[in-house]
Amino acid sequence: MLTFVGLWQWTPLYTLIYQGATRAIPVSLYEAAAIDGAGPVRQFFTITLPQLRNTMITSMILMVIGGMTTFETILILTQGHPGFSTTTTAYYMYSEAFQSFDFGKASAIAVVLVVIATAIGIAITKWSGYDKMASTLEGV
Amino acid sequence: MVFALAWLVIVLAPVYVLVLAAIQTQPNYNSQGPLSLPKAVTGANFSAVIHAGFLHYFLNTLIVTVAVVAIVVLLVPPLSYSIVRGRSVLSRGAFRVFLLGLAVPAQAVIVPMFYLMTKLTLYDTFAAIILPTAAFVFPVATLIMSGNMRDITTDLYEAMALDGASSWRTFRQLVLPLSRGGIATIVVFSALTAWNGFLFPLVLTQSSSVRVYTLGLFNFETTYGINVPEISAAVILSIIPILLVYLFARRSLVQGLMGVGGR
Repeated sequence: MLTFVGLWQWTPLYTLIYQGATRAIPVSLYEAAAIDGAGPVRQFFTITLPQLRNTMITSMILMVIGGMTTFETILILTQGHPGFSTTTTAYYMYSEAFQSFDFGKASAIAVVLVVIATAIGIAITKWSGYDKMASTLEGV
Repeated sequence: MVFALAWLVIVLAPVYVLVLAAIQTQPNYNSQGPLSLPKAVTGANFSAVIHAGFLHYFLNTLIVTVAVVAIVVLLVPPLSYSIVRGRSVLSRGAFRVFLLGLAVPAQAVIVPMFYLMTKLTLYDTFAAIILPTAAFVFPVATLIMSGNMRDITTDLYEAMALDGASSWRTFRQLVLPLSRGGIATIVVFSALTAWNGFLFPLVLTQSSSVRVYTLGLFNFETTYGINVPEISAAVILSIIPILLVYLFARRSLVQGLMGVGGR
């Protein structure tokens, strides 16, 4: 259920980003593919998706890190119940700080959250080559 | 296409409930379920909302949003330009620093932020809302903008260099016009974040002269509980400006990268 609410909330923003990126793909690529005899499905998989690679990495980073730091949705909808099954790190931090009043532990949780999330972000950018600032349009 | 229509229905369902609640009076609203059609339609909720002083909160939110968007649009494109094109270690490291910024949830730093604002004697001013909101929008905006700026091919930069253009001139005449789509996206995103911002105004402001719309909604209840139709009317009034921002930005978003290199 949390997944669905998050999806409902964030899809418009990502649609916006993807739409902007898709419009930036030069039409000449599609025309060249049509001359070579590629149908729409093949064009989608071989032109659109690779050109959108950078955008996909951007939105993947945003979604992963954003998901790790969501907090208010869990607070309103489930409060971490049933049991601990919907308690994420961010919500755990809040519950330790403001419900158990253990600020030291909450601060430690916050630091761990930041370090892990940053490490994941850097790992994604390094592993996908996003770091090299290359363009998908090189050689068009 | 069918999938898009189904998604549209799912997305519009809460909006439908909201509009339905806003055009009924409270006794009518309470007597039926939220999805059923209204017995009688009234505009009284909207006038009640305006009489309760929401136009003032509207103006405050407008000031905050315009300031946040201005800061973001002035500072993020040059930042992304130097991240994408810069060769020094500082430029490459800057991208990672902003990834770090992305990882920090706003709720975690709310207590230090409160102390900071109090020590700067900025508590309960507009700056107390504008500065943290803009700062937390920066990582996302940089990510979007630098992803957008990569697609400007090196041939164009070489052409500008052949003309003897300085880095600043290259930025102004080459990069900015081509990144219009990305700038429009970050304008919409930062306007939305600033408009809907609730945590920072809640913690960092107090008096009603700087109260923003979201806080106004928060305080909008009588002694008997929450008047759902009136709150729904207030929420609908708050959607309109953001919709306008999106419609204006859409033109830039649709244009994309036109005429890249004349190919």
